[in-house]
Amino acid sequence: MKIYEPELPPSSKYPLILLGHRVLLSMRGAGRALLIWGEALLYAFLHFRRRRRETGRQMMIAGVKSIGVVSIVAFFTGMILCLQTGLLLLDYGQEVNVGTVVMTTLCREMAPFMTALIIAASVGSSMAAELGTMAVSEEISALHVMSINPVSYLVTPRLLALLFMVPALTVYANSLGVLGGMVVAKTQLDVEYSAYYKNALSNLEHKDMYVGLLKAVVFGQIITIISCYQGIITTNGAIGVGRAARRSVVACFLFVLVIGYFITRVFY
Amino acid sequence: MIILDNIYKAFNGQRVLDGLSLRVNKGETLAIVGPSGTGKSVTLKHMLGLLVPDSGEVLVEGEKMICTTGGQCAHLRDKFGVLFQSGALINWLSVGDNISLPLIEKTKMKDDQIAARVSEVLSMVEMDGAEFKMPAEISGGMKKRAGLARAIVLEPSILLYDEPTSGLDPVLSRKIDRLIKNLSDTLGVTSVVVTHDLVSAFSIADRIVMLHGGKVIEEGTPEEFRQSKNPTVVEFIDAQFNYDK
Repeated sequence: MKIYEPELPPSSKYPLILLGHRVLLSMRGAGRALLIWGEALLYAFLHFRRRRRETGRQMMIAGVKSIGVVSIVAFFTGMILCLQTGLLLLDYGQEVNVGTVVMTTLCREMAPFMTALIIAASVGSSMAAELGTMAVSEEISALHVMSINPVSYLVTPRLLALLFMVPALTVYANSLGVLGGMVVAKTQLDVEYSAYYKNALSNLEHKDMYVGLLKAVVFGQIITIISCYQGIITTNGAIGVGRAARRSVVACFLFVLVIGYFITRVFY
Repeated sequence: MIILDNIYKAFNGQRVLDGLSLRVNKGETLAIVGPSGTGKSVTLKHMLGLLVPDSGEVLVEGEKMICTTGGQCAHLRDKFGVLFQSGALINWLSVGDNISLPLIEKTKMKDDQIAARVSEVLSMVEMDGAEFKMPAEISGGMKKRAGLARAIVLEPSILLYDEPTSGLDPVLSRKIDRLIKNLSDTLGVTSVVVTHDLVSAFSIADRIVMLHGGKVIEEGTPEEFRQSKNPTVVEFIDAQFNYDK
């Protein structure tokens, strides 16, 4: 991994020059983050056995420790979705189709999207803060000096962990969301469990599932790379660590939204 | 042997090293002293290839230190062991795991051999039995000693110390000094100590250089350094030893 020296934000009294500098800095940052992503993927193949233990630890942090919040958010999202669409369908006497609406919306969009936001806010920010603290306390320099590539040691395990855990959590969020919808369908809309279940499954297409999973995989990669990159380039002590965590969350949210739209646009 | 030849380095337009030239001879202990912000740590980072000079060159045992990508200077970095200012222990690994990290990553040693080597270096830094302690559970001085144990575990030929006594009480500082002196004597390594603690520099160094304004302004044995007539050196020494001046 190349060592990047700290860059101060540009200073000029001309707004256009400032804007130009900002754009250049952002593009340089994006290029560097992509290089780190490529390197991390390469090491995922080369050093997979060596990084198993750390990958397992990261999977535990990203996956198992996020289950609680994902469960609550997914269950209530399913309930809200079912209630809102169910009440509209009720006006047309079509409330029995609420299962299809909930299942399709969750599979295609909502489950990967909300899982990604939860992971970006909890795991992504913690990755940026953790790596940022390591950068300012010279732990990353220590790895360089020991000729241990920080991308292989720090980024690859996190990349692999989110590669598996975001899709897994998305499937889990999907199931719980549908379950939440089922409870509302029965108690508020008077739709039988069996009718809801049958309706939900009968109209689900394979494409809905794989597009949702593709989004989850892409979002996992986006979160890892943005968060790790922001962490690695951290300077300026505690202030820098806080800034890295904030920037990573903001950038992850934006990229998840924008890339999510374009994936939908390509497949539908 | 390490040679820094006419090094210039600026960060965002602010010059930190201004034509610095320095030579570290094989087997000697060189102390680099100077007030804060004169480029001591930056000099150390140039020796390690963690920073690339704007102009000038760094030679380590005759080879040019160029680290534009990670792999190119790895064989040169393998000659170094570094004690960072804060110890730079990996937070989620125990002291033992921190010390065994370079052995796991860079050698094909078996687990029992690694464990034996870890306890051997822990004993050298007077931290016997501290393998299972976490970095958060130990004091600043212990962190430095654990960092030192990690630095020497691969038996490097050059040891670099970045402010080894900063933030420590005088008793612990002298203990670290003795440790550095012992390691230099027993391992026969070349040592470079960056410090602004002159007591430390006088007690461990064979030669002292003082940086000011990004260049060397004084160089000599501890005795020659004490006798220096350079006003900046005199002021620096007086500030540490003669409080009434």
